[in-house]
Amino acid sequence: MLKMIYRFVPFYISICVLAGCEINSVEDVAIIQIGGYDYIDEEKFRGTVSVPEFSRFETGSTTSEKYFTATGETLKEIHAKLQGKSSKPLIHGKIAVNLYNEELAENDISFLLDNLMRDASIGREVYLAVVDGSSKNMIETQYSESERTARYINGVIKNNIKENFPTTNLHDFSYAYHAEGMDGFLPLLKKYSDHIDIKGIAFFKKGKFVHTIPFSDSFVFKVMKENMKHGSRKIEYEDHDYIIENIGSGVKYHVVKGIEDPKFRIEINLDGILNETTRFKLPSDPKFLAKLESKLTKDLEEDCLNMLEEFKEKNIDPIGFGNVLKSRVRGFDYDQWKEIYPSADIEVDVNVEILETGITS
Amino acid sequence: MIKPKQSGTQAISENVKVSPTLVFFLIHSMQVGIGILGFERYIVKDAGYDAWVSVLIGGVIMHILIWMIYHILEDSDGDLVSVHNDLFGKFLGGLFSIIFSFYYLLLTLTVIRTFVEVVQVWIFPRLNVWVFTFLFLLLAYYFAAGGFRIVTGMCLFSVILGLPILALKFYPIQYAHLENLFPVIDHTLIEILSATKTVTLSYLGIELLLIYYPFIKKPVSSKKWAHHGVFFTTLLYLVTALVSFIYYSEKGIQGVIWPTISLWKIVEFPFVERFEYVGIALWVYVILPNICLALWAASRVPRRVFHFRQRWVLILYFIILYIASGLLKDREMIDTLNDWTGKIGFYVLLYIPILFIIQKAMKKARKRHA
Amino acid sequence: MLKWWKNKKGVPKDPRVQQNASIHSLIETLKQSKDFTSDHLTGPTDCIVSYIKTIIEPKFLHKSILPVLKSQQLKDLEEIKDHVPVNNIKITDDLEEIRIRIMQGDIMIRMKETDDRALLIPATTVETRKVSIPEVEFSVVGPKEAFVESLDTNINLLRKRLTLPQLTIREVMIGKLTKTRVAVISIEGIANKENLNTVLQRLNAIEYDQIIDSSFLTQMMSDNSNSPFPQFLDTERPDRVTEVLVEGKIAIIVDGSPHALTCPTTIVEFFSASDDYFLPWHLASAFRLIRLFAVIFSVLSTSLYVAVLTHHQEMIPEDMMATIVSSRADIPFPPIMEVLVLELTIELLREAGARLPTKVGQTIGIVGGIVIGTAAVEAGLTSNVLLIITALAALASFTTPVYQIGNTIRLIRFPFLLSAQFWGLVGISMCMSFFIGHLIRLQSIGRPFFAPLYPLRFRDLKDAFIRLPFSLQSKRPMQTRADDSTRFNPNRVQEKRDIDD
Repeated sequence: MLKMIYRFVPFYISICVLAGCEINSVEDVAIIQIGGYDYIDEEKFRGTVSVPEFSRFETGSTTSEKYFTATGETLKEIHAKLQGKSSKPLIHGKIAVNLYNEELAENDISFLLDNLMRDASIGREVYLAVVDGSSKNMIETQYSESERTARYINGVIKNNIKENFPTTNLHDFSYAYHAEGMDGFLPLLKKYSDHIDIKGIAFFKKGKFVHTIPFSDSFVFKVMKENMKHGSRKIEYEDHDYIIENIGSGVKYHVVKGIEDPKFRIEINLDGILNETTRFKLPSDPKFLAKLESKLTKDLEEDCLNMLEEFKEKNIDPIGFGNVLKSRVRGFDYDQWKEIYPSADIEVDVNVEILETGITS
Repeated sequence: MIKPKQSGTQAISENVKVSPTLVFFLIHSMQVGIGILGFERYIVKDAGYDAWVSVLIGGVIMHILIWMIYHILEDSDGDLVSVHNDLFGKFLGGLFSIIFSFYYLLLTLTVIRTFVEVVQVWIFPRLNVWVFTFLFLLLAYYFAAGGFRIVTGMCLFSVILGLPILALKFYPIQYAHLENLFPVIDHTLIEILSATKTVTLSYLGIELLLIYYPFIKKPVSSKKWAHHGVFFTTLLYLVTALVSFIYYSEKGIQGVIWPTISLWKIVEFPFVERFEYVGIALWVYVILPNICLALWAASRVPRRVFHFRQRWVLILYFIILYIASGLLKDREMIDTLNDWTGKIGFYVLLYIPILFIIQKAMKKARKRHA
Repeated sequence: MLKWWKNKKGVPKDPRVQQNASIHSLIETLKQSKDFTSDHLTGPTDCIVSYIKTIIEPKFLHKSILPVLKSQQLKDLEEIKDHVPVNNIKITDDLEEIRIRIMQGDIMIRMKETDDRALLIPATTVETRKVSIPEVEFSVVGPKEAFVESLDTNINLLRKRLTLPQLTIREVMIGKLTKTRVAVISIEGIANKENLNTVLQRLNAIEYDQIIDSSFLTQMMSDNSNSPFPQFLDTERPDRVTEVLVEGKIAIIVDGSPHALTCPTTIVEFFSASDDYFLPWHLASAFRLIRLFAVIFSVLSTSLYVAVLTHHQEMIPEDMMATIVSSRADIPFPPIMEVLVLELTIELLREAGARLPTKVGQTIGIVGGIVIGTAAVEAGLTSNVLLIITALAALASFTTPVYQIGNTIRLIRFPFLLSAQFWGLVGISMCMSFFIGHLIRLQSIGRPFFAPLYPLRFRDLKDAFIRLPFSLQSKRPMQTRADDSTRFNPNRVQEKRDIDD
């Protein structure tokens, strides 16, 4: 029995002597929640981070934040400089949003992406976004009395992903970055005096920002990209506007012809409900809904094709046709695909069904 | 004539034996260890996203090996040492047995050092390896010194406590890119087989049955459970591989060192985020039986061969492990260690059918002489 | 385990407290006490009546013995024995027996001062408490009798519940000075012989001068006396003892202790309350699971707090970050110190509450908890989040139906706290593995303590974390290795009737 006590003597001694390394508990560190990077010149760029400040007497919704900015040539250098300005060690683990300004994004953000993926403490559900303007400016503005900037921007993106904006986060972006035959995209944000808008979608060729579409078109992109359950679309029909709310749409990709002369067909099935019009009553025409459906079908098909045409022109593949082809045919050759993609033939086949028109006819 | 048995089942007292059902846990928990956290990456290098076929083939091979091991042991009614002595004589047989002892020790070293590396990379970059491994080994010693019953107990709890981690696989399925798996079998047989070779390393662990076989009550009825255990492992590896394949892109997964841990990152509950910390902590339970069982088996062999006291062997091995794992410093060395263990493990598995054939041949020859 | 006690064997015995050489010297020793009386009756019967007057029933002496002696002339002890209307009278010259029986309250009658033979008439009166309601293991429904300090009353409580001739009571005397009566109770034909022998063997091996309470035996008989886990279940409810006796377990009752020990026991038994059997099975199962959760929470909550706050800040969700960080903002201590201070405060209150008289104790508990807690938060010494966690953890540790295991839970929190401080969640896991290993190793009178988890026994799991209906529990638990393992014939019970039969 004494043996057991002896067994534990080295245990305690070693713990006491050797384990005395420094430990910072949660209130002794500065938790970065948002970071932004701006382009300065070919070598240098500027990093801005925001750190929330919590104080004892304002529990819950404190709005005070601290901002640090530093410029440098490498990320490490910037982090070292930022660290120098802070009274507490900066912790990256809880970063929720990362912003890049347009110029930086045009110059390749691969190295920043690599850093995010390499750090074990950073999650995979970080939102990345491109900023029209300066990201420093965007971070250092207070938008709301009750919400911190990081949370506000986070909320703007999260909320829109539930609606018209396609799903995006660090994982999705890096998935597309690494995948063969797929390109990533990020939200494009713009700051106004007291709020932030999603201006559109920024499309990337690997790590470079090359193309953008306005936010109004993001519904079109989203129905092509993924199955969705929310979002709404306006139709103009006979001088009136109708809003169709999407309650469920599905997309399927069909490969009609293989790698030699690729031909794709995108099949979109959309169920919607009509929930707003600019007129007082719907016309009594029994075929009216069918007409509305066909109009929406035509509009969507047209918009989709236009958008795909633009993608081909810019030689980007955010839908991931290459990836689709790879999974459908044997012996997929990525280099060959890269050559052919701009000339690939793509059809869009939309089926719209308006299920309900609300509780008045 | 068949020689008198060296140390048959009778030599081990009934109260240290375990029931045949527990063989399921012994086999399964020894197979699943540190390898499952990162094997996807290695098999993808060989056979792309068709590697899940290799996982299945590997599972089938393990079933065959289990069948062979049972045959070998049933014929001799003892453990590996008595089989060796029977076939190769005392000297050569003893040497072979001691090689196995060192192999088990190497297995222990690999598991513990790789786990410490995971802890270092993911949680505590400034971890004091010497203190940590010391305490971890002390824990393993506590179990191994308790004897086989205690080690088996830990195997049981390891499986039970590890099961909830399996439920986390549902989170990455939300991000599934099912098309990744298609087209099915787009690689040559050679590529798939070479991935099979890679995957067998993750299946290592059944060869410990050679040592603990005499500790099973009614060993014949444990056969069923051993096969169930292997089957469950195969299933687990298959699910793990498939989930990783649909979550990562094929190029992407090759850049991720521990795909399974990275998967846990996206698990989120209202009260806790970033499940990889919990996952790694729970992994302590998963790898502890690996270490304990291998350490126990490693120290059991010298006792059987030289009739040393097992406790002293255990202490000696403890010291060797401690120093060795402290000296292995960086990722490269640990990777090499894993590589070597894999290679040696492969040959050990290869040795089982050879042993099987030799034993059958000897038996026939003896019969003829008799 | 008995190593330490065994060492005492070598120590020479103190002659003064040990044997007296003769009856005479025994009486000389006793005469030093004021309450020892030795009367020489010279009436019709000429004899000497000696007794300790504080331990005999005087009424009995005056009404049953003295009238007999004084009304007629009786010549020798045999004649007296025939005339005194009491049974269990004994004539003996065995000095040891005389000594013990006198000390237990017998009246000794001798014919002459120099005689070695004596007549012993039991006339004991023992002051005991009335049987009252259980205070430690209170239950809302079910029987409300608790054991008292008298062995005979306690056995009476059991006998009336189990009117079986097979209910066997063996008695052992332990304690060199106290000579405490210890009863080992079992049902012949159900209880395993091996278990019974182990218990008797261990009881006989005990060498100590005093046995004041059953908890002495818990420590002296346990398989691993260094373990914080009690390896005997300690209960004050006769109904609970009856239940386990029927399952084939063995009960030990010590004279002078209101608690019975039962063995072999398992860890899960400590979390089952007698209420569980009084409620429908699904309710009982739900409450058991809640209790189990409470125990896990109690052990782990504060160490998880330390681990997450010191090492794994990333795990705190964004929404909780503000609450936690702002509550910790100006606190000078690191989380571990904060937790230790608060835990120790609560332990302090608990100890103080247990020592103080009931009325005062309650006040101290509530007032102390609220006042000190609030003051500590106000002063910025602890965070209110932690205060909630610690208070809940303390509360949760009281949900265990058996008091002893509550103490264990109080104690094992601290190693978890330390390991959380060193290696966060990994440390907690390692500490947990250690305890799992410890529990696997533990045994209760040679039977695995961690059953039915390890060794895995599906039959016993029916009444472990959940309690399945009685109709499904047709077998006695495997743990007890009962000689007769069948409770009832399940086929007869499960005969299905058709609709409208």
